Amino acid sequence: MARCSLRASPVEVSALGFVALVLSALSAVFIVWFLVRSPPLTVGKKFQLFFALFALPTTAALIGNVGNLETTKTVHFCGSCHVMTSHVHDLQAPDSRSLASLHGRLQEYAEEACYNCHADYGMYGGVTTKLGGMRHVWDFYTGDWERPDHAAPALYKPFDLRRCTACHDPLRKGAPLEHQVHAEKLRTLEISCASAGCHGPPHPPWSPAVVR
Amino acid sequence: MSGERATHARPPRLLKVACLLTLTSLALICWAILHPVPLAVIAAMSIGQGIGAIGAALFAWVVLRDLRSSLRSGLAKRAAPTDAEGEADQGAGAGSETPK
Repeated sequence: MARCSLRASPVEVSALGFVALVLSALSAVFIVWFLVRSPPLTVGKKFQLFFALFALPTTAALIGNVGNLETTKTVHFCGSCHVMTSHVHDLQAPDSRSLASLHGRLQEYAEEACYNCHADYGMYGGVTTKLGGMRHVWDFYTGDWERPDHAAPALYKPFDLRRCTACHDPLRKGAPLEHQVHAEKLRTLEISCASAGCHGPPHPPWSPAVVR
Repeated sequence: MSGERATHARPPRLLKVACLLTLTSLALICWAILHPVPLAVIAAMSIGQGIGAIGAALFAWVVLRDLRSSLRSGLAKRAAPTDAEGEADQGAGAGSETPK
């Protein structure tokens, strides 16, 4: 998605976000004028208020929602919870050999690397991912993550291997022999791509020191 | 617009509340866009839109209330001359019944 920087501000706003901001500003300017001036309520004023109180804010909210949902897919957004700092550092480290980093440094993956691997698969994957993300947010704000013995952040359900096999089909022509041999066990979830002896854990061990 | 008939000399308090709610909602939406962290995004997409919906509903209520009262006053105005005519007719009828 196209992103633009607001001048004299370090804030990066998506094109959709920018449109939503403009619509919000238009609406807010009229509302403030209306509150300050308190003009007589004529039919014309009611039409203007219809735009300021309904049409413009609704459009701004809808466009803002789409922009926000796109923003929630970015690594920057995932990394804004400081418990993810350790993982994001590794993801972007040029010398890291972790599975996550090898994928995250690919140009087409870089911006939405977390989402590309962790989003649920299927037609409603985007919706179930966002609902599941709410639980992560709840845990983030209710847990004491700075406690030294706090457990590392973890998935609430087993990693969906279809996220790997969608690109790396083990039975595709020319697939590595190890993939072809283990295709059936991968399908029945007897083994995982991240099993020891295969590709190993995708992220290095979580480091609470980075969090603090 | 100055020639238009105003339904209120000043905006009703309910409309001002609707304006303030909409401003709050817009502020939350803008906060989420300018500072996209989980809490801001969740607040904008739940609380912000809820508040905005209440604001729009209050505005709709004010407009509907005005429409209803103007309809009522219109009906009353129409009914008033008919009543006067009816009374006049009754008066004329009563006159014709005067004994010969």
